[in-house]
Amino acid sequence: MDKGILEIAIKAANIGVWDYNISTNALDWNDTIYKLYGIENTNFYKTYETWKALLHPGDAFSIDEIMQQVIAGKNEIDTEFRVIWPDKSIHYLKARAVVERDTAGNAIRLIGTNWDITDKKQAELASDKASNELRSLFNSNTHVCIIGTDLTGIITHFNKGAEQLLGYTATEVIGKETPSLFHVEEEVTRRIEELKVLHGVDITGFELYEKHLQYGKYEDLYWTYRRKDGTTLPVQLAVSPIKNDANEIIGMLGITTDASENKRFEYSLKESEQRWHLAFEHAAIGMAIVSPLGKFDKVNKSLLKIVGYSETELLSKTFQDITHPDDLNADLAFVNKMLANEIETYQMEKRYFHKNGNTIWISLSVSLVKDEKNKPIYFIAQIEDITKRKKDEEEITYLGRLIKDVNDAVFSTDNQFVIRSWNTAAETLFGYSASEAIGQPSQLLIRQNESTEWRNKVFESITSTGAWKGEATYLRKDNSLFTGLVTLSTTKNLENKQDGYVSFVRDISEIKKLETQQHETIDIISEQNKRLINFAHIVSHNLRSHAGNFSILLDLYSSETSETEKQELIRLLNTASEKLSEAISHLNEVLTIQVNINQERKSIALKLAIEDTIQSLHAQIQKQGVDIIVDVPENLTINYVTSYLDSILLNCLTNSIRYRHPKRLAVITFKTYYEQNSLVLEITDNGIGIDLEKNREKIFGMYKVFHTNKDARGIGLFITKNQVEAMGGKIEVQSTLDIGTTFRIYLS
Amino acid sequence: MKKIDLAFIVDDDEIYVYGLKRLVAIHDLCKNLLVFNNGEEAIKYLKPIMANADQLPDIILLDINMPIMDGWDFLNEFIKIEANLSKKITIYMITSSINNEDIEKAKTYSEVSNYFVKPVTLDTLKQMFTITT
Repeated sequence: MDKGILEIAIKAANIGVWDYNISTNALDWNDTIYKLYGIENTNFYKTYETWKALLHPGDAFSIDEIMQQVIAGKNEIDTEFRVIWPDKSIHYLKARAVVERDTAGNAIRLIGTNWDITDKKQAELASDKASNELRSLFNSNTHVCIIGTDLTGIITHFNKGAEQLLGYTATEVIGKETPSLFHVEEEVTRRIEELKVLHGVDITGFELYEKHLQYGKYEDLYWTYRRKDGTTLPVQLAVSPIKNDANEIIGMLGITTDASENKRFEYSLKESEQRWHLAFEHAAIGMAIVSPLGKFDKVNKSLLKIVGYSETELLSKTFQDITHPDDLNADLAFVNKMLANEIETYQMEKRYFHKNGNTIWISLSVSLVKDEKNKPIYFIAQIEDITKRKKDEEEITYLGRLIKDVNDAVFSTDNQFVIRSWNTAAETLFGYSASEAIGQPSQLLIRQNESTEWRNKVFESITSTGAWKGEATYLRKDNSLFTGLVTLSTTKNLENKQDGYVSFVRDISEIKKLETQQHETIDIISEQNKRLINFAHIVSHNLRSHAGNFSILLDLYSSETSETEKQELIRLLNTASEKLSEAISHLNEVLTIQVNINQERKSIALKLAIEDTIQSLHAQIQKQGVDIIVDVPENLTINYVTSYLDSILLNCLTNSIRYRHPKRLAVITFKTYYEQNSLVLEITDNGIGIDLEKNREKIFGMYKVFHTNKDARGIGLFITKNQVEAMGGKIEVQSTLDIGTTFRIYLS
Repeated sequence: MKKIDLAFIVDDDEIYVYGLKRLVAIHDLCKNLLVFNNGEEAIKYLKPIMANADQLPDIILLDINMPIMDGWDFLNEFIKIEANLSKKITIYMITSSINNEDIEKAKTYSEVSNYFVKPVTLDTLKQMFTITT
């Protein structure tokens, strides 16, 4: 044949030609070779080694082996190998070559061809694999029976396992029989009814099954098979669709295993299934059979009512679809524990979404049905709508939290006033913990002497209005008292009968204290104000009267002619002037007290101060023969402004001496005692006394004199009162005419 | 216009009383003037002579602030004996007090004809010492 034509043919057939010089290690390729190796025909340095590097590493070794054989005498090479293209794709090449030898028989040259066999090789491999696997599976001497049918149910495959299990031969059944040959008719009928309900269709037979399988169901159920010899055996049958390349179902494949070992289980399952079927459909609570993956396989009417879906809608969903996302993990955790055989059942409260989008609360009880080999078959779920209860609970919890967190102490009692509940604020306010308080009588909290009258008032109000609001003095655990603003109401049980009382108590001690302080402040201010007005009047009155007198006297003087009268007028003017000075000095004295309220106090021994005062009036006392008793503790000291105390003591003592009774020996007693934390100095005399009926208003007033005594100036007690009050105390008087007078000076 | 026969001054202010007496004398405002240092003295004097119209004063110039029995005490006592008096007595309150309370209090006494604040002027004095009826 013409060499040119051969070349064209070789090229057209995509055959690569190569020439290898063994002694020089030089390799020569035609253009096609490059294509077969996926490389460019440029700068490729061709040697045995560089060529070998293009091969799949798994084949390189066998190539070396072939070369050894060639050197040893092999003259023809026929082999296959894989090459790896630069793009990492693997290509199968076929290689044939002849060996050229020198005269000594040494191989000096190899001339050969390569061509691509990738497509052929891959098809070969695939079919080998599939057929090997299938064949081994199908024909293995196994107990697994594999039966294929077409869409009409006619058996198309019947393996050895099937022959062994059923006693029929493949030739007996293939193309002739349907699986009804060995199925028990009533089981098939029942399953058909189930599937009809499940899919909501009214078709039977394989058409129905096809529909069932179109949902992607892989069915794995227990059945009873009847052998050729008439004996029956329980089997577990898994059915799956056979699909063509266009994904159309062209048949069904059933894989069946002998379940004789599970016979007893199967029977009981069947029986219980029947019983259960009735119970299931008519159960008052929601029930569902759920696949291990969560799909609702069977649901009852109660459940449909709870979730609002139709049966078809719900059967196309999983429980995951309708479970509130916040509850899903907890549920799945239980499911996993169950599948892992850690738990047998579980109960939980969780939320579903109703079809209308509302959240509903359900109580879920789940158990898992397993076969004897512990393989999970399905879940049985019982579902109860607890939305209302949950809402009530939420409200109760909310109210409970409100009461717990509220700032007022809240506690309740039964009808016998035994404490039943006790909130946090009550713990804080009363000092009793809830565990200490609950079970105790609530009388424990009430001050004992707040008894009859107060209690009657409370009871009266409760009896007539069912509630009482007011103030009460409460006793804390530490026996301290506080004023509480209380609202006490009766509580009623569900039958509307009174079952106790609830009290809201707010501590108003602080408010009370503030109120008292305010009152005190107002008292002080109004007292101060009264004194100031009084003082203003005194100033105005005294200065005015003196000024008036001056003007009268001066008027008279200017018109007087008699020298004697003029001298008299001058004398009177002098007197008026003295009186004015005296008045001004009195006013000064009072003013000093009013203004210098914050004079420095000193610690003064009271008894010593009294004795000093007595000493200063020594002459008078001796002359008048006055008996003075000082019943004051030696060590009693008071914090006082020294000059005020001296002035107060002097004034009182002077008064007592001045107004002594003319007919008896004067006795003056100083004594001290405490009255409600206040130190009281009491000065008692047996003098002439004061008619307090008439003079109570005047006794401490300025220039109020109600004695005929010539020394009376009407200023002493006014100043004393001012000094006592400036020191934060008060002065009181008690007196009976002809019997004597008692001054009580509150020193603090 | 009729000159007053007898006037009482009830006041403890020696200088004021002196001045008043001199003014009355100089201007010859009344025939007789009796001075009491406090309310008690005046009441004690009045009680025995209630029936003797010629001994009773036409007017009383009454101070408020006085020892023992002040102007108010006097008025209270005066009310008790008023019905038994054989003569209508006009009472003027004359005081240095410009305290509103005192003025208001004075108004509550129907026995008090007027209230004057010291020092009283001669004109006021003349007015008081004139019987308008």
